[in-house]
Amino acid sequence: MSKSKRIALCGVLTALALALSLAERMIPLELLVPIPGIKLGLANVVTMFALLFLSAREAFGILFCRVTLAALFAGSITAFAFSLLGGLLALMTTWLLLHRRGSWFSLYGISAASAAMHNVGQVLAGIVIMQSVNVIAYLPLLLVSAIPMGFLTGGIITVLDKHMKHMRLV
Amino acid sequence: MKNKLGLRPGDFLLFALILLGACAIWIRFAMLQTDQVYGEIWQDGECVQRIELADSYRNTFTLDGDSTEYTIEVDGKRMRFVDSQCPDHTCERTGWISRVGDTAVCLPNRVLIKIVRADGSSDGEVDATVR
Repeated sequence: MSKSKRIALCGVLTALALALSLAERMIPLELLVPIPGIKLGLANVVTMFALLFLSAREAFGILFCRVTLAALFAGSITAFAFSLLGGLLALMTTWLLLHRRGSWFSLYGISAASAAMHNVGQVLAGIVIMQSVNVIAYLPLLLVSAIPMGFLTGGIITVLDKHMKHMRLV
Repeated sequence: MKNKLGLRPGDFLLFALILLGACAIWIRFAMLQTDQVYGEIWQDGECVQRIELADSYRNTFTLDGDSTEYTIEVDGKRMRFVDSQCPDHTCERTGWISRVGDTAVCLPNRVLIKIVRADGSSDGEVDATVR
């Protein structure tokens, strides 16, 4: 793939990740599970896609642009810190686990671990911002929620992966 | 191991780790919240003494108040004013305080004692509100 095509693809993926993270805010998941910060993690699908079909560097670039733009559009500097720390931990986890994909882990397990680490990152940012260790109280439920969310995003990325084999986009 | 989703053995390990982590933190936190309470002595709006209350702990604190000296007795997980030199002795009549949120006040000395949790909160059901 040519360099310009890669850059264009990164741009498209950033836009998609941004749209997904804005769209999932409209899903009132917090009514169902009353924990602040709970979400589907659809934008994580884009990160995984980039890690699978592009490179870790490009995945990081997409993540950084997405988080910055999301903070500019709808959030605040706190939202930026939460998403960035969570996103970075999730990205690194995914990247590490993908090395053993197929032999040890499937995309479902990797997604769940990635979602869990995203939550850990969020809570860490929360501890720093709120100057209180009590934010950890939210972590157990957030961690448990990582498993169904992992199945959701893992399912999406599995379907994507299967179809990408027949496509010549990348 | 071949199943419909194509899960691998490592996946179950990851799920187990996540659940284990969640349980560990939850148990740790539940213990922290129910067990440890502190007694605080506030004078003129400032916390001058913070005492870790435990069953075997006994002590008395004698401090200088705004107008007179006052003494606070700590016995296990409860505390009270004793031998106050103040004129009205309302603080002594409050008796022992032991539950989170309980307070006793000595107005002449501008002193307040209360029982709080580890994080300093003393409200009943809600631990924190995040907006």
